[in-house]
Amino acid sequence: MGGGWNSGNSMAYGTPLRPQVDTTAIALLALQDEERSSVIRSGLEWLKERAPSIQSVESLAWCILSLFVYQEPVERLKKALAVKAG
Amino acid sequence: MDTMTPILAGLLLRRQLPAGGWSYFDSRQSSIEATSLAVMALGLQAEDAHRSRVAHLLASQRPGGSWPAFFGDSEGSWTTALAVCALNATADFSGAREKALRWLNSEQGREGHWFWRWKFKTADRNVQFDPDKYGWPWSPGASSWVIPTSFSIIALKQFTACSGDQNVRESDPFRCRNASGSRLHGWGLEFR
Repeated sequence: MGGGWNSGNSMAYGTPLRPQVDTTAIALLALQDEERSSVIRSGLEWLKERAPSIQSVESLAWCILSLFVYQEPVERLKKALAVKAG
Repeated sequence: MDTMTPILAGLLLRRQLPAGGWSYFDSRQSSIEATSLAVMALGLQAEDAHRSRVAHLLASQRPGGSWPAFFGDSEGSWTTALAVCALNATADFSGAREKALRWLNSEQGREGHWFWRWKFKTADRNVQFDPDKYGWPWSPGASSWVIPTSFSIIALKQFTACSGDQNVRESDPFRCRNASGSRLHGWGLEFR
């Protein structure tokens, strides 16, 4: 599916399940000190690609926390969060 | 965004329940998830208020070391990991944190049991995963899920990092405190 985590399994009844923003961000936070395996790299790429279109305040907040840890730029996302928050 | 921080902190404080915790929506029952996230978000600003918020969290810990999903519930849950993350931001309460970590270490997803591993390997192949790998469930006796597993890993790694000065990463804004109470950069969930 191109990276990211679904909250449960990645496959059911032969069908890949769609990744979710907050699950992916939190999983990446848990893996922040691990070797950058292909799983982590693809999850990070998926999250970066998805980030600009995130609508949920909670998902965007987790996304910012996660990308920040991986030293990705988050200033635009923080501004977007500030607009959504208020 | 920096100007938003005090506004959002004020909003969060206004939503605090009279009993000390936080809830989702208009519920009057404290949610351990919401309370732990609020404690982490508000950080150590205003030490006295912080102590009171942490006291509420500590009061909801169950005798076995776990935290329930909601204040007053009788069963431990995944929020134990989140509460440990909130307490890891302090230098104190190591007894509560150690009890919680012992409880977390004793928990495993249902597929961690030999019978379920065998079942998923042989009979139930509709959900495809490696049953030799398992994590933490939302509640005891259930199967592993990604979010409770992630927070449990964070709590365990954070506790280890916050208990010693090794692996200090100066550029990491995720902070915790060491045993002597001084601020250090390391494993954490606190965004500053």
